[in-house]
Amino acid sequence: MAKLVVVHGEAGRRELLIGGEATLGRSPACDVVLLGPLCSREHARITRVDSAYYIEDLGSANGTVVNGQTVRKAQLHDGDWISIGDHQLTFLVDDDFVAPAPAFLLDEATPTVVDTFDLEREIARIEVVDSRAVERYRSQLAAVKEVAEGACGALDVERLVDVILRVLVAAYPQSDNVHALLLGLGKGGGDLGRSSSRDAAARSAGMSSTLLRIATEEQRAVLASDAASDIRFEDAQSIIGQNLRSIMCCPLLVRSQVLGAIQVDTTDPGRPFTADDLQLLITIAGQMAVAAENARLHAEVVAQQRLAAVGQAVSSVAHCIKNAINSLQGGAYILDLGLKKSEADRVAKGWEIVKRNTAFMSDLVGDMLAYCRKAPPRRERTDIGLLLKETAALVQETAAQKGIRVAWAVEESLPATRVDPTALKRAVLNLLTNAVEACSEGSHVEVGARRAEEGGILVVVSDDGPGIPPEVRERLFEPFFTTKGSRGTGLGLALVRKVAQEHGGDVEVESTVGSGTTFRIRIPVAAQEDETAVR
Amino acid sequence: MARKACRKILVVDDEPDAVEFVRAVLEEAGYAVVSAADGEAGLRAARDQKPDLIILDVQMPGKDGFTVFADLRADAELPRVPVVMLTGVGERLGISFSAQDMGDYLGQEPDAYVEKPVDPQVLQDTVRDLLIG
Repeated sequence: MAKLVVVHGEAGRRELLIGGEATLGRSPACDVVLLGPLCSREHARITRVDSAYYIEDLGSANGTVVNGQTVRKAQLHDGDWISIGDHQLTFLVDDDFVAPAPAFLLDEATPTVVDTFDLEREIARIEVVDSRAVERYRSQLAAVKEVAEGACGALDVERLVDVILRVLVAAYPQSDNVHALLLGLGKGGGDLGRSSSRDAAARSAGMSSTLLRIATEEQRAVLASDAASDIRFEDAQSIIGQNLRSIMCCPLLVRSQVLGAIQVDTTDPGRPFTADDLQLLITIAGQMAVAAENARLHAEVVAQQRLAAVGQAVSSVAHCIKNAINSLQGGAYILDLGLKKSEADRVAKGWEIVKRNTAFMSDLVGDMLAYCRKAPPRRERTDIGLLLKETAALVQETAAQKGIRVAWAVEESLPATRVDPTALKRAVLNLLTNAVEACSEGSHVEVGARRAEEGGILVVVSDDGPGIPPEVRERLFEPFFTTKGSRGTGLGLALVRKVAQEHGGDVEVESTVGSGTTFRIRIPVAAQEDETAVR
Repeated sequence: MARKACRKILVVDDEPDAVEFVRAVLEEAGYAVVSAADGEAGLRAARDQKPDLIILDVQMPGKDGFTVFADLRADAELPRVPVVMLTGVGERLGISFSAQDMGDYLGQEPDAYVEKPVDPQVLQDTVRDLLIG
C-alpha cells in the first residue's frame, strides 16, 4: 500500500492512500485534487505495475518534478519528493525496516560467515546480575544517550562527524582508530570521511575497504579479527611483530539506503571487540544514521532555498535590465527617426530617453555592487548634521519641482559618531529619494538625527505622504522587492538595512496609510567612541 | 491607405519611455496612438476612446496586464478588439501559462504576444495582421 503525503499546499497537510491508480490535478474528478493556477486540470497520474509505482506527467503546463528533476514518466521509490505547482508531496511505501544483522568473521582477508549472532539466545543467558556487566551496559547506554543528544542535534555535517568520532572513542576506549564515512555529504557532493587515532603520530590504517564493502553492500555489521594462526602470513614475516587486530564496521542505514559507515579497530590484546561491542555499535549506528539523514535533508533544504533566492534575484535583475534596454532601444529608434527626417525635436527626445535609461542602468549596477560589497564599513568621525544637510541638498531640486518641502533638523550636541560616511549618505539618500517620490505637492519631508535613549544615534527620515500599507511594509526591506514597477531596482531599502546592520544597528519603519511614514536608522555607539559633542 | 490612417491604437504601459517607443513605431506605420499609464486608466481609455486595437504591458503596478485583459473581455459593452500583450519571456521565473490554462481562467486568450525588447518590425507586422482580420 502506498501513501501520498501532501506536505505543503493550500489545504495544509494531508495523507492519502494510493491503490492501483491515482490521478492528480486541479479537476475535482481527480483522485488527488491539487488547487492553484500552476496545476493543470489533469496534471499527473500514479500507477502501480506489479509492486512498482510509476508517476506520469499528463502534458501539464508546468511539469511534474520528482526529487528536483522534471520527469515525463518515472518510477517512484519510498521517500521520493514530488512537486506539482505549489504543492510538495512525499511518496511513501510501507517498508519493513530491517536492522542490520551482525555477522562474525574470523579471517579478514577472505571473510566467511562463521556464525550469526542470536540476540534472543544471548539475552536468555543473562540470568545473574553481574556487576561488571551492569557497568558495561551502563556505559553503553551512556554512549547511546550521547549520540542521541549530540548527533541528532547536529545539522552541520562537520560537527556531526566530530560527534560521531567522539562517541566512538568514548564507547570503545580500547580503540586505536575510529572512522566515520558519510556518503555524498562532503564538499561538492563527494563523500566525507574522517578518522581519529589514539596515537596521532602513528599512521592510521584507514578504513578497511574489505569490511566497508561488506557492510555497505550486504548492509550488515561485521566484526573481524586477524587470524591468530599464521597460515596466511608469508614466511618472511615475523609473527612476533604482528599485532592482533580487531575491527568492527557497521553501515549507517535509513530505509534500506546506505548513508555511510562507522568503523573502529584496536590492537589491544586484552580487549578485542566482542559480540556485546558489536551490538552496541549497531545501536549507535542506528542513531547516527538518523542524524546523518537529518543533516542531509537540512543541507538539501538550504541548497534549495539558496537556489531559489539566487533564481529570484537573477530573474529580478534580468527583468529590470530588460525594461531599461527596451526603453534604450526605443530612444535609439526615435533618435534615428529624428536624424533621418531632420526633426530636431525627435533627436532631442530620443537622446533624453537614451541618457535617462543609461543612467538608470548605471544606478542599478551601482546599487547591486553596493549591496553585494563585502568590506566592513570604513568608519571615521563624522559630523552627522553636516552629512544629513548635504544629502538633503541632493534631493532639494527634485522636491522643489514637485512642490515638496524638505526640512533638516539635528539635535544640538549630538555626540560625534564613527560611521562610514559614504555608506550612511547612500542609505539616507535612498530614504529621501523614496520619500520625495512618494509624496505629492504640499507634502513635507524631514530628515534629522538625535541621540538614542540606549546610546548611539537615531537618523530619522519622515514624511506626511500617502503611507505604506501593511502587506507592503512586511516586504519592504527584501532585496528586489519594489512597488515601482519596472522603474524600481528593489535594492534601495535592502541597502539601507545592510548599512544599518553593518554598523551594528538596524532600521525600522512606522507608517499609516494616509498619514505618512517614518524610517529610523539606529546606529549604536562604536567601540572607541568619544562622547564629546561635535559643534 | 486612408483606412489605415483612421485606425486608433491604445497603449497601456506604466513606463513612459516604453510608451514613447511603441508610439513612435506605430505612428511610423500610420496609426493614431493614445496611451494610458496604468490598468485602471487603460480600462477608462478603452471605454472613452474606442480604440481599434489595444496593446497591454503585462507587468504594471496595481492591475497587471492579464487582469486588465480579463476585465476588457468581461465588459459586455466593449467591442471585442484585438489585444496584444507586451511581455518579457519567462516573466516570472519557472512559471508559464499555457494557452489552455489561460483559457480556463479567463475564458479567452490574447490575440498575440510581443516580447520586450520590442522589435519595431515585429510589432508593426503583428498589428497589421490583427487589424486586417
